[in-house]
Amino acid sequence: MKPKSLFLFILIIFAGLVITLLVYQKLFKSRKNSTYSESLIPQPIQTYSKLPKFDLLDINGKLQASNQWEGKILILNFWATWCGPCLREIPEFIQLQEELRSQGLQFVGIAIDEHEKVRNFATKTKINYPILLGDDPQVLRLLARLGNRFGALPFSIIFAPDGVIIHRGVGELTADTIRTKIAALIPTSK
Amino acid sequence: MHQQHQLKPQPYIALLLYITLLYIIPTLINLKPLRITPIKDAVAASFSIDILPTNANLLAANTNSNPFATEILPPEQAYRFNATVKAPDQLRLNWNIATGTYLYKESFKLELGATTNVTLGPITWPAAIIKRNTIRPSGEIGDIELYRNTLELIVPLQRINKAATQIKLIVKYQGCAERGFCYPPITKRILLNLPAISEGTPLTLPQNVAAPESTAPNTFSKIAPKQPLSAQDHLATKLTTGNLFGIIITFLGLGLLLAFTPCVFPMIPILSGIIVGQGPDITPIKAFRLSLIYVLAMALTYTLAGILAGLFGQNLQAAFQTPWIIGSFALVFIALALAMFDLYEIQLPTALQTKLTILSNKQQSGSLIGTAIMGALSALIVSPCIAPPLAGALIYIGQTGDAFIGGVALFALGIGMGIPLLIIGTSAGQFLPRAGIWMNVVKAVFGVLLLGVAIILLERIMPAFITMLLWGTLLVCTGVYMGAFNINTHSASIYDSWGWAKLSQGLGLVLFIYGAMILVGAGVGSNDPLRPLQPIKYTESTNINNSHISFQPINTYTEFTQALTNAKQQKRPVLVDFYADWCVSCKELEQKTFAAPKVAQILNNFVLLRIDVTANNAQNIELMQKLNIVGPPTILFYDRNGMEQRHLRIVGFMPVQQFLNHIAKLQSNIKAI
Repeated sequence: MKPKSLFLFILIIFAGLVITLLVYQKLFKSRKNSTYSESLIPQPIQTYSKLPKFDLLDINGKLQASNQWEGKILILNFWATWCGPCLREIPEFIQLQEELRSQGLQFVGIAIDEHEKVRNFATKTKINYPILLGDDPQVLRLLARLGNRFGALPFSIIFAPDGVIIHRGVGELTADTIRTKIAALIPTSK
Repeated sequence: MHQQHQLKPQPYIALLLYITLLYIIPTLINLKPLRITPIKDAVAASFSIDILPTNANLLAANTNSNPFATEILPPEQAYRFNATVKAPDQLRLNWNIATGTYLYKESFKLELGATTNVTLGPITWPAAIIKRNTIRPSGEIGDIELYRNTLELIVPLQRINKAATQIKLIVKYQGCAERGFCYPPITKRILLNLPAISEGTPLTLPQNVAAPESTAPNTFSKIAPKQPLSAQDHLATKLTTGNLFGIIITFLGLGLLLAFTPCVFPMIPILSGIIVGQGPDITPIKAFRLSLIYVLAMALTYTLAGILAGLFGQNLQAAFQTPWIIGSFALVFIALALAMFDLYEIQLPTALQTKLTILSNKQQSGSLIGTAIMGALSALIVSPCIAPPLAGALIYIGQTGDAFIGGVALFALGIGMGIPLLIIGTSAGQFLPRAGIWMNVVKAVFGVLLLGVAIILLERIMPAFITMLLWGTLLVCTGVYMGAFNINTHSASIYDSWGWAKLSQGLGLVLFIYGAMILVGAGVGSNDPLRPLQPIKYTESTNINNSHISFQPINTYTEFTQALTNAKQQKRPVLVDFYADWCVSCKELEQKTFAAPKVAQILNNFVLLRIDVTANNAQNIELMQKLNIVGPPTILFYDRNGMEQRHLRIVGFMPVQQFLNHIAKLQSNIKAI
């Protein structure tokens, strides 16, 4: 066999190889892509769009179920004493709670912290809404399902009376933001 | 007239390269930049925040009113932490604090896991930034101390025992972002190996060294925490510290050692086959030139593939290990082999033949490019072996992003691997008989070897039973062709003399018998052509159970963490074996090392997990990236507490005795914890 024909031979084989490859790519691309998106591109975990069901102990040791706040404008606020920004927004919440209680506004705090510290802070600042103890694995799942992926605090969610989430976000929530978000839900006649 | 049939290699090659690029480029676009996380034994944040996947737009996608959560830096990136052993009695802890975030001084907590021989000395804290009139955790307004940008702590250790030991450092810290949110407290548990205190050296203990001005963050110090580094980490470190010349020499030498492993063996018949295939007019210089081209192409491919793997975490070699590519490539070798047997002799008109000789210059450049392509594809397809030097270079590139030094090391490694090939290739040209019967004999030998290469490739994608049959058939047929059953010596007269014929007949008979044994072995369920009749032997012996170990297959990262947790609950150490069907060293490990009764006995104490990455699918890529695996074979060890013994990672093949010693190290470690 002459060198050149050997070379040609190799070339033909390689061309065949590459064509096989391309055909393979074409044939299996769609299937390959679907497996790709299944796990490499993270699938969002099903997040809640409505008020989820949960039961947590409050600072007085009583079990509180989330469905008791159905029908109210509920603001769930996740916080901790080690979180400066959380502590800054709480006085505003207290004021707003006082002001709009009759309009059906309900704040509920969930503290991800040691019980003693939470209790001390709550009594010292005279928090006028329920504080639940979030030192519980249930709460981690809850945070995740509510869309908070790093457990960053403060984290607040506003639920409309029908339980639908109308706002959620990490970071300080001001009274003004709350007012604009819930304006449509409050009867203006009063 | 004839000219129209003339072969002009260049257009073919251009076409071929074009088509190849068409395939390669989309693959490259899909590559995801790799983030090699700092080496850590266990990172347990006080709350697990990995529940949600890292999809930054998740929140935004679900609610249209989310001004806050869009661009939250993951805590791991906001606070990059690493710990190193600075001296036998000193640790250096370093935090790189992302702009716009800070850490609270009062939230820092340092302690040591169960140990009596070492205690933490007093720490001198660098001056903190004081933020006034801030609400404090107690609910009062006051001052609070913060660290921004970088924080370096020198932690003195008080050691009672001078012997080398391992400590578990537990570090807690917590911080917030200026944008008005906080990260949950982070807890890191790090295993650090303290070297022995030599008698002569005075301890630095009394003067508690305060933190000096923060040094430029050394991206590579991540690798340093564990003092006895695994071979590949050691090499990776060497790349940061060594000078260029030293690196080249080291990797050249390591490559040379690698050349004598089963990874490189198949390349010998391939290259020799190309050279022999050039026909009788090959000169030593031509042979050398071809070998050089082959080796250079191979080394360059290693370099490029390595840089890609290091930067993007995509194992190009693994991507090539699909049944289609392997199958096609095996076909190439079968075709080449048959050409060696002169089955393809295309009788060209004499006129054309003379033309060809005139055009020999063009032809030569063509065969050079063909050889180069062969070299590149051999590197990608034939020998996808991961050995410590390769892994070291890849780790280095992944961690520093420095493709130059890593690339130089990889290239030196490739050249080192190619040096024996150069010698063999050149001497193939040197000693090749010019023409005649002997030339045909040599060509036939290489033909058989190339068929062998084809079978080696097919072993990766076909059941052992079939490849055993192939091996047996190849040997039996070769034996017969060598004249195993020739009664009349005249019929073997292609040989110069009667003596050679007899020798050939004898050897042919040996090959025939061996081939027959393999065929029998295939029938009784053996899958090792080197020991075809092993199953027969074992059914007779009683200790068959001893050498039988079984791995639990793991397919996804979730399964992996689950299995690890289970093992932790049972307080059993874990061995994780990264395996692939196409990985020659994996098979070697399995058949030679794991199967040894002594090893199997010890391994029975372990929870054995196997991650089969034969399919280069998304789950496997995720697993490899999360565990910082460069490629198979890699063996990971976890102690009874579920801590990875990173420094004990094995990459590449390890013989029985060395493996036993390695395990012994692990066991002493486990006791110490």
